Amino acid sequence: MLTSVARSSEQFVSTDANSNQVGIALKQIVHLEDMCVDFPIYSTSDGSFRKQIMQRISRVQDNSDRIIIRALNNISLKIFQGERVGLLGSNGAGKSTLLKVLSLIYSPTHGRALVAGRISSLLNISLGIDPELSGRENLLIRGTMMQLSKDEIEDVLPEVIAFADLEEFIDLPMRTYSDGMRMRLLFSMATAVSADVLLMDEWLSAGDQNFRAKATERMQSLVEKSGVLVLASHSPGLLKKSCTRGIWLDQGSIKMDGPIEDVCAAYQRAK
Amino acid sequence: MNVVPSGFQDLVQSLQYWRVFTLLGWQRVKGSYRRTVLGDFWVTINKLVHIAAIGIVFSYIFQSPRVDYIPHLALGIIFWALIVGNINTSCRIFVMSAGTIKSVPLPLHIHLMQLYWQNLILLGHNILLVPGIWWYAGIDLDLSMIMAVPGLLLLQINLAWIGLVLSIVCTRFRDLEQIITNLMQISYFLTPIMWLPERLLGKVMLPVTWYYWDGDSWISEAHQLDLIHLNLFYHLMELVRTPLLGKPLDPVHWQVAIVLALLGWALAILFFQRTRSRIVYWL
Repeated sequence: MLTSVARSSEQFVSTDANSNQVGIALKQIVHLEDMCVDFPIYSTSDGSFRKQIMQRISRVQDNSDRIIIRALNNISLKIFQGERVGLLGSNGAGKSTLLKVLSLIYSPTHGRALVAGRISSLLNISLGIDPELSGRENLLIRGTMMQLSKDEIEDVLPEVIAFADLEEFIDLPMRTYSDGMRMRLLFSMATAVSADVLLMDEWLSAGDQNFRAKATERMQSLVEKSGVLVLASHSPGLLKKSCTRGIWLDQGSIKMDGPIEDVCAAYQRAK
Repeated sequence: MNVVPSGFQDLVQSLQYWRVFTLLGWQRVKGSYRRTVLGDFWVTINKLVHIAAIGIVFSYIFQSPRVDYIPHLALGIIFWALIVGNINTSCRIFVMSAGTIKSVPLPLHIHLMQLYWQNLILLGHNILLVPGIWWYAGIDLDLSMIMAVPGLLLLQINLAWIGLVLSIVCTRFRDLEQIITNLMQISYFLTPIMWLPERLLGKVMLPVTWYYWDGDSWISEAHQLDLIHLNLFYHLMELVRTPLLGKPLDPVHWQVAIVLALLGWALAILFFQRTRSRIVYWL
């Protein structure tokens, strides 16, 4: 297994080298180096003051029930301009955690994680919105969180609403929206302004066929300009349509890295 | 190349994101009173009822003249709401915002800024009662009342470092929040809000001895320290309350508050610098 990983990533690097020879200098956008993420799991007793104090008093160090889970293990990864990366893996493989590292939410416990440019991430469609507010008001909040000025938000709003196809519902409270409508609106907003890094978690499945096709096209055109797309999913079919490069994560490690077709094929064979 | 911000960078960024925390702070206040007829004016009405109830009952119990007691009580309650609102909620602010923290990359300190902003908005609603208090007690407007503004700023600066330290420690040790809530309840009674400070000032003294070096030898000097001066909330409260009552302010309150702010922020920045990258893992 390990040799196949090495070969496929070498191949990948060599394609980069080739394109460089042709004269296209690709800018590196994501750089991960021996990166690990360890989660401490605090049980109620461990997190409590009582235990800490008792340990001090009794001078007995009891770390038996302090559990540490390694969510990502020694990930080294380079992603260049224009690449669309699909993260593949079963539940708990570390896809979401990797996206959170790339979003600069988690700082790696070991190693380094560097990401260049403006990051736009859509990791959880139900968070960061107020269900009592209208779609329009929520977009205003979203836009502000994306560091857009009021004028910039006003500029993109009509296009965002039109793309999400929600003109009739935009002034209703968002609690009345279905999951699909909510996803459409937030997706449209997250992709409204160009970003260097676009990070998306398993959510596109909430949209209908039509919207999925539209969304794939929009992501591609957004990334073609200058950026990088990283999309996590456990559906190889979806990733094949949207991505060029596949990374298969298994129990926190990269099991395979290469052209999306190959990685998806290997993944499906293994299932 | 971007990396996860350090504690200090996080603080600076959270100020640059002022449009986010002001907007979210407003939304949070409005959210609590949504679909009510009077909306956020319930804030003001609630405080008025609270002040009137305590004011009438306790002016009888303490046998204090109401025109002295009620303005003191009212301003005390209004500013205590700011203090306790910031301190108690800061203990659980990261836990409360865990969902957003783990899915939207924003500076962590922005959640605290939003809390401060929210409480300042609530204070703004309660401040509407102050002209009524002046009128009720026949307090004349005076230019020195302006000193309440820098006083409020210094109070808020102090609350901000306390909030930052507590928010971090309480995220790691979840029991602390309960302890802080209890301590704040006790502080409410130990701070002259329901009672006039004159009842205690100069009456409960703590004998202390200062030692200082005069060049040849250590000199000891016996002093009497007013016990109430050990209550930091008393100093912070006086910064804003005394000017608004049109009374002269003892400079000792300013001195204590400034020293506290400097020491506190130095501690808070060092602490945040060390813990910034770990906080998300504790959620």
